[in-house]
Amino acid sequence: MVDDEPMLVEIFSEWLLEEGYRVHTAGNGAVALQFLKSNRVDVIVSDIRMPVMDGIALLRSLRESGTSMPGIIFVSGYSDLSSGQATEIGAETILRKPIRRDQFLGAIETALGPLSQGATEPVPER
Amino acid sequence: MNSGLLLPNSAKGPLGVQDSVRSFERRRRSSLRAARVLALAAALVGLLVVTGGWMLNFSILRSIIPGAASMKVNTALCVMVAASAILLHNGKSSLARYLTPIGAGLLILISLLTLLEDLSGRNFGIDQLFVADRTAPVLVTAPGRMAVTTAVSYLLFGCALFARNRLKGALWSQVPVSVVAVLCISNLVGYFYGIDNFAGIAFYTGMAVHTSSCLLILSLAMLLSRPDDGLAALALGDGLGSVLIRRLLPAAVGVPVFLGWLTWQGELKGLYGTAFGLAIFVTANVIVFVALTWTSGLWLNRMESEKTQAEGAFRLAVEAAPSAMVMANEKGRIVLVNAQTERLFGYRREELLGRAIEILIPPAVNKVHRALRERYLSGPKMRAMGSGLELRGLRKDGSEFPVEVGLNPIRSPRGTLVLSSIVDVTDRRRVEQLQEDMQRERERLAATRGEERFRLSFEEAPVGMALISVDGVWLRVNRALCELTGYTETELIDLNHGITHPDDMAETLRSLPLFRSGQLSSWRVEKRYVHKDGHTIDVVLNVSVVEKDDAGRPLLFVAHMVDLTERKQAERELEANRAQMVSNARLSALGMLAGGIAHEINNPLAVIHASAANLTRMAESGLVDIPSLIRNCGRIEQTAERIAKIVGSLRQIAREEKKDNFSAASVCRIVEETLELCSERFRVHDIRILAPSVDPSLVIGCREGQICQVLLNLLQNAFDAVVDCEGDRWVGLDVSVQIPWVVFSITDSGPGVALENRERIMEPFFTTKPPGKGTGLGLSISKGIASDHGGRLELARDTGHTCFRLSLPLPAGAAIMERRMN
Repeated sequence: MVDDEPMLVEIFSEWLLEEGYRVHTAGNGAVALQFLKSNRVDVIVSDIRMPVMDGIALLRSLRESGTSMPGIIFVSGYSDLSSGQATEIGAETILRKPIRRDQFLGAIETALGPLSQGATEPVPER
Repeated sequence: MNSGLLLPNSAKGPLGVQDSVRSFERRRRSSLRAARVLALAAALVGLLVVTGGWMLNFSILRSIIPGAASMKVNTALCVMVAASAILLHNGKSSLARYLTPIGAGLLILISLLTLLEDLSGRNFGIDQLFVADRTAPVLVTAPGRMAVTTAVSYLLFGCALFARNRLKGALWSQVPVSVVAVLCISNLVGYFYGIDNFAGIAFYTGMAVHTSSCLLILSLAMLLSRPDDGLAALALGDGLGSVLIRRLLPAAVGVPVFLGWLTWQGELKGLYGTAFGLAIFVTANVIVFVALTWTSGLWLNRMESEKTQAEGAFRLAVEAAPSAMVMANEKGRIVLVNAQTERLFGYRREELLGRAIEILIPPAVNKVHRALRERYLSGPKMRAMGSGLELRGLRKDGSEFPVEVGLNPIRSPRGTLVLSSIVDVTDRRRVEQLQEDMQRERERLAATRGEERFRLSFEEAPVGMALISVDGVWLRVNRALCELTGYTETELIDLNHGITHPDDMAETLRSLPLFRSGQLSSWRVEKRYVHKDGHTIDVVLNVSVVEKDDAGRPLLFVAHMVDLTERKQAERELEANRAQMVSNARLSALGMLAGGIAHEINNPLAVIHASAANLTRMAESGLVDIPSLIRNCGRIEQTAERIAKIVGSLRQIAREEKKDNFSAASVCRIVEETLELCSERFRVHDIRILAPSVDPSLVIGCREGQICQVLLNLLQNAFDAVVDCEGDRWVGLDVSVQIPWVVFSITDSGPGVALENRERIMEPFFTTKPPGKGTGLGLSISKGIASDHGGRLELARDTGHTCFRLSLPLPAGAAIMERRMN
């Protein structure tokens, strides 16, 4: 869960935790990228606009470094990302704020696809 | 011609002439001075003899050699008279004109009477007229009577003095004087050799030593007093002959006298006989004079060659001159011409030399030229001839041509020579003439075609024109005016100024009497007419007088009407455009904020939305988890407050504040609100904002929203300047108090404003941003706001980074808060 708005991170994390997901959070793209160098996740939920490294740069870096793409949900503040661009950088879903809980969780499930809940290998706690 | 060879010689040539002129002048002056001194000396001797010798009876003064002849009273008086005459003459006073002939007459009278006495043997009583002569006579003579030689000398002297004033030739006076000098010399030589009565010339009494000396001195003085003519001029001149005279004269007089004396002494001592003595004398003379002649000859040859060389160089220089050079003497005779003169005037050299200079001048002005030439010689100096006059030269074939002449006087011992340099200006004159002719032709054409041209220019003029009588009646209108107004010519003349727009009618009627009285001779005004179809026509009307009566009152006017309708329309559109642009700029500034603000508000909205959804879900499930409830409600509250703050700031800026009065506003709040609106944008782009805290008590009187707008605009510009830069990017907003100002400084880490843009950066519509990004109005509007506040906005020049300073006045009394806010 990558977002520079701490309250949103908190709320989204609560929603995921309530559904039994394990959640790792980061305040911007750079922190997330650092984390992903040594950790694997099943799905990334990222904001677009963030200081230091924004969401788009984060996804580009992941692609360039050859990291296998997990399911990606893009959370955009407003429509500054076209669907074409989203595909290019490998985003599966674009969500626009404000986001309803069911919408959010639905998108997560779609992104995980065949992966069963909780089937992810253990990752170290943050 | 080799100029290397020419230069030194030519320098020597004219200079040599000038040198000799100067030395001649010097000799002339010293000659005059010597004449005065000598005359004075003679007069003094005369005075001494009269007073000391005869009145006070000092015999030594009467007769220098005891026992020899004495200087008589009459003689001494005559010495004084003659000396005075010479002195007076040199003084050149008008008194001299009367006194000199009187003195001369006196001398002649006394000497004639004395000679008469001697011849007739009678006594006229003039000999002892003043002082009785009681000395023993040396020879048999009447007491006090001057010697015959003396009398003859004075007679000659008197004649000479007389002739000097009356007769033109110098020789008339100088020959008699020379005779006197010879008489005196012979007398003196006699004394020198100890012969008592030399050659037996004096019959009754001898000529005293000092009488002879005085007369000799006077003769010399007389000769020297006229250095410009005759014998003296010959001796003092610059010619080689004159130099020779000066060199040989002393020897010619002194050597034989001395040698003769020496020989004579030998004979007296009985060393040899008379014949042998004569032989010695002659031989010695021959030797001395041969030697003298020899050396003089050598010297003359050297002088001659130098002079020839110098003159040759001078001639070559003249010859090579690019203009015609003609030298004439004082009498106007040509003495020198150069090759250019031959070419220019068509004469051969020998045809010109010796002829009057007037041969080169058209006969019509010959007489005038002669007069002017003489006037020029009275004060010759280097100048152009006949300045302002058209000078013309005359060729041999009789043709005339325009010339320019420069005159250069050259003083020489033979008088003043005038060197004229003559340039043919035919070509130049022809060009000038041609230009004049063309101008005249143009004027003539203009005059004859004036009428026709006026008609044409009136009818075909592209602007509306009308001929208007003094009563304001339109007499004629042109086609353009018909087209402009939509009326026919007849209609227009019928309507007159009735087509004037009703609003402008009063003004038109007011101006009419002013024209009638002649008070207005031309008038320019913007006015409106009404087109036949009813729409308004803007014109600029020019009215001027074209005809006046004899008293200068106007009779006829011509009016030009230039259609301004389109221009006015364009101006109105431009004005509207401008207003729109200003308004757009405002909207655009807000638009630029929108991106940042949308994100700014969107996140909090998402928080509230999610929290509210959480609460809803909680309520629906019927399970109220109190901590969760509080957490969610807390989020909603906090976030709503944040949104309220942002909206508050936005409202500040969007508010139409023009009519607002100033109110006291906290600088701290202004800065915080401004940063609130844009900090998100900066944060997202990872641009640091360096904004130190501001003293919360600092207050200024302002329209808060406008100041926010200015700061926001400056921050926006700073953002644009750094956003594409590499490395550490920052924007600083600093507030400081610099009595009497509060200064907001907005600095960025960008590359700075290019020098060529610095002057223009505050101009409206000037922008350095790519198309579509900036309107170019931000800074100009900000500057306007700053000056509305009595402050200023400027681009600081003293920093490496771009730094805009907004200075706003502190409220009165705020000075006590002098404290730098950091």
